[in-house]
Amino acid sequence: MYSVSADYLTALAQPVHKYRLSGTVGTEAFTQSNIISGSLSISNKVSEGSEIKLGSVYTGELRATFTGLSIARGSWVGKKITLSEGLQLADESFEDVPLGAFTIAEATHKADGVAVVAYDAMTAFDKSRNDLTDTGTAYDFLSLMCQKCGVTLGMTSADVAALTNGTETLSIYSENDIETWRDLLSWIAQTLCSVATINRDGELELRQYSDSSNATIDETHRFTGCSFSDFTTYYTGMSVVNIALRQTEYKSVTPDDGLTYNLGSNPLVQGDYELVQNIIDDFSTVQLVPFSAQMLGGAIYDLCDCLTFSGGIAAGAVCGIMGFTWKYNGAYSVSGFGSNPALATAKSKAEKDIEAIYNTIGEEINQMSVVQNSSAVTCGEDTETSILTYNFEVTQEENTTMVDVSVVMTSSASETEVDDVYTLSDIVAHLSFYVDGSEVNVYAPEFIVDEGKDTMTFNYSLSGLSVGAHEFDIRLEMSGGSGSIAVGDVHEMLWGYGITFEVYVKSVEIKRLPNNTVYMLNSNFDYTGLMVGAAYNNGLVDDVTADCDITPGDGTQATQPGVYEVSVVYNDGSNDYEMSFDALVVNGCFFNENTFKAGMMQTGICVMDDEGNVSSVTSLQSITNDHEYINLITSGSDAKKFRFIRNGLVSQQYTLTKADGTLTSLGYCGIPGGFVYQYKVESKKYRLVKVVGDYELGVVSEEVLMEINRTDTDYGFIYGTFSQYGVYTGHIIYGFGNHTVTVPNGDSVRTCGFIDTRTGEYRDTDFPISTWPGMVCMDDGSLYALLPYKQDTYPDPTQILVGFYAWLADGTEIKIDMTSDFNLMCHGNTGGASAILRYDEENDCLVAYAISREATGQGYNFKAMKGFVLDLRGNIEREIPIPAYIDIPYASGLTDATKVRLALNGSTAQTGVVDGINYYPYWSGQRLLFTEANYFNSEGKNSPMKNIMVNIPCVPSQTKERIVVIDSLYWEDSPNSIVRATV
Amino acid sequence: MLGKYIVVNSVTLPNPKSFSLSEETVENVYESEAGTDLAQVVRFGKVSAKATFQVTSLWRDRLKAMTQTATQPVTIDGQSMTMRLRDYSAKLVENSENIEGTDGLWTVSINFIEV
Repeated sequence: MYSVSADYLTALAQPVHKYRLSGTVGTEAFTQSNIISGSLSISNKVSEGSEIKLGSVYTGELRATFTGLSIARGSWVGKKITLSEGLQLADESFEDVPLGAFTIAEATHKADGVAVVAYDAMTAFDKSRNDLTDTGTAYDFLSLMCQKCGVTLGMTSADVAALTNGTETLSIYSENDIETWRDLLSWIAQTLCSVATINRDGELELRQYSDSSNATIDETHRFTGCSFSDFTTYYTGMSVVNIALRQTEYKSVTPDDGLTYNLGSNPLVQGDYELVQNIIDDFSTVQLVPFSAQMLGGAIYDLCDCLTFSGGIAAGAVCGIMGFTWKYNGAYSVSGFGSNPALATAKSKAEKDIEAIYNTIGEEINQMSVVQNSSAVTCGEDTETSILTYNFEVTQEENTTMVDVSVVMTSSASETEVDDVYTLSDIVAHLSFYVDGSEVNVYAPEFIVDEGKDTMTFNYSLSGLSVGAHEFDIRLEMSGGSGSIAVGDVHEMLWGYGITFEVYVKSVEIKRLPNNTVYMLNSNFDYTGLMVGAAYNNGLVDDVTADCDITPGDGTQATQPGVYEVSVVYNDGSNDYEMSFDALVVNGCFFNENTFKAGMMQTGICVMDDEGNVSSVTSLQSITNDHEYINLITSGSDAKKFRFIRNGLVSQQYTLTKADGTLTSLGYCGIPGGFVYQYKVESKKYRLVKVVGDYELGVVSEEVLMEINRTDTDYGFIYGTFSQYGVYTGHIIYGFGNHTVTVPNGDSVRTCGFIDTRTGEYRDTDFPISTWPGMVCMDDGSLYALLPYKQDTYPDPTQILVGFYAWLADGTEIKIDMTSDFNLMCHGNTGGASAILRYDEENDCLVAYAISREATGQGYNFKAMKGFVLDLRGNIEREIPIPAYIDIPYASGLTDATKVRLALNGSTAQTGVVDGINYYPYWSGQRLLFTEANYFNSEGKNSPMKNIMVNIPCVPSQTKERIVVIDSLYWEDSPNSIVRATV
Repeated sequence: MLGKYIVVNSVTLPNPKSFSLSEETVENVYESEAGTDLAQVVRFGKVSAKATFQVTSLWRDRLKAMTQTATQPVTIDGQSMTMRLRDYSAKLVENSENIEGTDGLWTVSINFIEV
């Protein structure tokens, strides 16, 4: 409820109101004089139909007909409307209440004015979710989506944390239906037992239903014609689809006498159904009466507010606002929805049928079971295929089994041709039943099914079977086409007397891998998210993860780097079922495949994730595809071998079998589709290795050997990238040579060039580069390159500038010197710099980052210094903030050389507090290295950090240990000091 | 007596034969569940007036022209406002067509409605 003064509430209680209106369309102000009478309305909702919805993401809508505004024809759409309604107080002054912000989507010119339809910012979330972040708190997700969609989040982290499950770390299950940010928003809101809406300030807000009344409306303050249900809607049960097991999980509170809410296939609660329990625990406390009421304004009530309606026909009904329509100088209609728990708990027709059979046969019914197929079935034409098999035992000579079956099948008709005329055949499904391998000739139904998905239902009965064990089998034969049946789509309910059904485990398999299969050395194995499913002969699957023996065990320390085969054993009481998966333990550089973005081409040793975090990937040279990268081993006894990591799974090691003495090194390049290359420097020849299938190494093709037609011998590394089609399709390879020249201060810098395999031409550029460029190769053959190079205005050798080059497919060369806007500082004389360039497909632009590298003496630190959005002609459209940087001193001298992520915005000064109790300072020149500390951001979020390198403004003695107390630590985007500390 | 008070677009009209003026409050009135009124006042004091003139055909035509524009600035009894002049009607006074130099005497009525 919008907060208003006591005078406002006094005026609101009067029977006669007077309002005014004020607002803007774009920059043009309007009042009620500019609105055609009766045309202005605003409506929004969070529920509809017969249930109180969770996770709704409805859009607020404004409709109005404006007149007398000087807005040019054709320029209405896209303009923002803000408006307020003012109520006249007793002293004749007005108190205004904001009604929201809307963007015009439609404008129609009519005789009486311009009729517009405008929507609130919820539509901004109808944007393809181009982000792979799948773990975080709800606040993390909400912040990210608001940033991506250009909407302000109207909640603090504390606001979100106060909601149900608000402090939990949520993971998006990989099998999900999330396409847009709005989809994700809906699931997040549902997981937080709330709804998402846009507030009066145009900001995203999550709200929870409440039955704590905000105001009381008596019969003199609501219009005649209101209605109130005579029941109260409340929920005591909650179901959710277990995607991995294809079954429903159910959570409830006691007594479970209310409605059951179905969360659907919520991908955020998979594997952690305590979240569902938390939701129903909170949701069950809300009890609201469905209603519909109209009253005078003002529009101070919000969605999810609770109103008590007293007197008259309402009799104290406590109602929640789940939808409203407000009209200026008209009725303010509010409504709430729900259904009757008493009806919901009534028995279904099927239950009554079963109960009737029980009543008829009485105690003779001793078995009832549900059976379904546990694997998919495909049935070709004129081939008899078993679609469901199960075992049962007859215990009495007098026995009867009754069966109801439904089969959902997707079928396609075959074509027949007569005299060049093709016709589709009728698809006929023939069903037959077998007991112990012999056909039972009691019933053999045939169905003519429609092409596509169709359902067949039938029933049958068996009686007089001999005492003992039997196997029953349903078989399907198709004519005129073929059919396929998904898991669980043969569904059979059977019951009888004189029989027992034996249920046993048919197979056990890992249904879902742990959330994390890559661990830092000396960290603990964590199998959270692992799901092992036991499939029974009746088609049902149980989660038996908790009953498995896992080696190495959950929580065991990973003391050696390498690939671990994690053994999983399940015993069903008689048999062991053995399974395994791979876990990778890495030493040094930490990585997380979820931070890599598909299509991002990295070169050199820098990788940046979506949020701008920069990491070193000394052992992960290439990203070849979405969630896949190559772990290239470049030194030691395993040199020239590599493995692939895809979605956290690690392949075996492969050796380049054709390294026939020509291989001198492995390159740093990969391209979508899984190519790596080897090359030899001496002969200037290059060779590609194609990877086919899952981790299967393809043939190293001799045909792709290519010689660079350049006369001098000065070739070093190739930093290049390839076109998406690679050389196998005869398109373009771009490579960068390493033509080293000496510049006046004695440093060597490289020139670069590129190769067009269509012509074999090598082209030099006059663009000296210092270190690794960032490049993007487009499908049309265009190459864009962001080239860091040393400025030739010495004697300041530490200044690294960045330029932009593009060679378009039509041969056009673009050269942009961005030195004025895009310089970056390289820290330390031993440092270098590099650049990242990636193509933002959604916005059709290039995103460029300049990266500095700093030698710490213990390794290197990387930091994104500047970021820009460029158009495809290289023009800088705007600077973008650097949201974070990662600092990775993979210090060999430390025992705890683990990941270091300084999640700080480098673009603006921030203050924070370091919890300095638990660190041990390590001197390294002018810097302090803290092995452990905590960073609290401005919202109090605690980020544990390790190995923090801090610049100290003075040079302390390196020969003495000393205790240093840091009482404050702040960060700023200053060229010479990334981090400063007061010592 | 109103002759000097009704001014339409700077033209003082002849003395009306009859004149009535009313003021209306524009409001939306609803009935509450308890049977009481609930109302939203949109506007107080919306002026409406009706005047009847007995004039020659010359003034008849002038008055008619005034009703054929969208709005007119009108001053009545010293109060200026923008009004719509509508519902023009003219009725010939019996036997007046024989009055020399005129096309007869006419009884013209006009409604004045404040916009």
